[in-house]
Amino acid sequence: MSPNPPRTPPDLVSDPAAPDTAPGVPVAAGTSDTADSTEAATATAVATMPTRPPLGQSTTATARRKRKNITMIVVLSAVLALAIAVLVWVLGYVAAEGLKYLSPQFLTHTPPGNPSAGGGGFANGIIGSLIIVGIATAISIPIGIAAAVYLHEYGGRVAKVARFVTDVLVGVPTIVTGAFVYALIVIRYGYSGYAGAIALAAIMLPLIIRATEEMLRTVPRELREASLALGISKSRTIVSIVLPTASSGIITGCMLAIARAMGETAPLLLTVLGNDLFVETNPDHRMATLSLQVFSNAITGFQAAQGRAWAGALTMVLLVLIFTAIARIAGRRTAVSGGKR
Amino acid sequence: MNTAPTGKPASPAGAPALEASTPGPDSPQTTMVTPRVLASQPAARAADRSITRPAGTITIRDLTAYYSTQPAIRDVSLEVAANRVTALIGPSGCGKSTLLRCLNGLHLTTPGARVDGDVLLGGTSLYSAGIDPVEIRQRIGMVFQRPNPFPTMSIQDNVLVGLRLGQGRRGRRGRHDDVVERSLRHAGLWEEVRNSLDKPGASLSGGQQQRLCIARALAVSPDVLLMDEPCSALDPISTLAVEDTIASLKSELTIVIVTHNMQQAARVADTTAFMNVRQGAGTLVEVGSTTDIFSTPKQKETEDYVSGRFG
Repeated sequence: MSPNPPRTPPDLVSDPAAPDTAPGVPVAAGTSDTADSTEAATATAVATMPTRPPLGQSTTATARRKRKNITMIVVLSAVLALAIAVLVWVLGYVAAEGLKYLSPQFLTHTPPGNPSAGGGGFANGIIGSLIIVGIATAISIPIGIAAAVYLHEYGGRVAKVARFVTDVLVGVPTIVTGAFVYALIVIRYGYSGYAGAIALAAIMLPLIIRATEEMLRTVPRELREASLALGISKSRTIVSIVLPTASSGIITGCMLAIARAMGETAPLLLTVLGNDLFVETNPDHRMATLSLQVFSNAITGFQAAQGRAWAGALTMVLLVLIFTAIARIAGRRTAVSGGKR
Repeated sequence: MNTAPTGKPASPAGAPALEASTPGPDSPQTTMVTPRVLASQPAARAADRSITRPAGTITIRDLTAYYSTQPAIRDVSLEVAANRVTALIGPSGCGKSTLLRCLNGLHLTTPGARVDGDVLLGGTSLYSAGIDPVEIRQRIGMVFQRPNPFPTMSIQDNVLVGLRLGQGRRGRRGRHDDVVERSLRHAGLWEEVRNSLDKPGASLSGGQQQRLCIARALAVSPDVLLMDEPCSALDPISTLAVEDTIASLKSELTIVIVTHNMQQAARVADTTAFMNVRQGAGTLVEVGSTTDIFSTPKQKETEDYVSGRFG
């Protein structure tokens, strides 16, 4: 502590080390605790005011805070770096291995009859994935968004139960969903793209409902009231005001669900089964999907097949990336245009 | 409800035209505000009103409004004169905003909310069974405390949103440039935004956003405009602009304004109503001309409030 701190009004700050400025107030010495109690007894005006050293001279507390700050910044940066590193590693490894084999031929040909042979590609898987995920998306997005609108905008007691069930469904292992669809549909109608699409839709649905509901929650009540106050009906308000305002978040949620469906393998094993021989575009039959082909080729042990599997994995990543980019651009065009909100 | 046409304040140009142009056998004459009338004749209505508007008188009778079981206002009776500015003043929590929200049925959109008593617009009860709250709100516009333009829409679309989304197919068609200009002029915003109508509404300053919200409310040609502390989030200059707008709108519609700012009430209002909390619910203490309320209030409570002794 400085022996001569800048002069301050005695009723605001009384420095224990400073010469007393107000007659009758004893010089408080020692720690701030004792200074406090001394002051409380003598000068009621400053009873609750802790003794403070002049600005810029409190060294220990500041130093401790600074040290803590630096430590936490280092720790958090390290954790962030670790998280990103894992991600970059996975993506980089897939890209490095996949690029060795990814070629126009890979995108346009079916796998060779002999899995140990080189060449060929996953054209049937790409087409199959697009068809099956497309059907699943067409089923699950309208239902999911409509269900979320009901849950959040209309609600009631049913909604509470439905929300709970949705939360549970998000956590159900996808192989269980696959087994369910197997028991319900595949046993009766055989393996088919439709059965796979239904399984994927069942997996996507709770994800979409939750994401959409979360986004609807972010739309401020004031906006709904502004719309209602203009004589716009509740349904119109939801369709034309609330959903567009939340659209970018809803689109992101849907893209996550699509990406998830794109990579699902287990439920498709039980429903679509796979088809490595030719391009099948009729979803009524068993089809190939990228994820199934990656799986079946990766487990063969043949180097050529494993190369194809890597390229298939990379193709999947790229497809999801392309979809996300398209959805983002489309979303930006329709959603909030600028603004300070 | 039979009294609807006669109960509406005399307006030689507007009301008869509205009634006369009601088409179709299935549009009951007994109800003043049927969907048919509004949906089929927005253009006619707009045209009529641009000359002389059938302004709305609001009669509040023994209104008690609840949030679940707790009454927020109790037994409020008030006559709001047409083509006047009526200010509601009072301390925080005295139910001014709740009262305002009862006038356009917005109160009932809150879960658990209900009302007893009645509110009449030009003689028609807003809470009777045959009345759709959506239609009430096409006649009674509202401006909120915080400017809330729709963030997804341009300035022009914000102005037209009530017309496009609220009034059926006819409203959706066409560009309605005249409505945009008229509404923005009325709100005192036209000169500032005439060259940037396609910019997002949220890109404006706070005061401009609030005037945009006023323009948005005016575009559907309401009889009444409710304003819930419209200037509390604005700086003095924007406040002045909004107050000028209020003064210029008075000739065309009824305005009810809630304000915490007593100077503002004194500046803009013809009539002032003072509300206070009694036994846990807001009640109407005194109504009178603004001059009377601020200079010679009859109640001690009112005098204490307007002189700044409490609240």
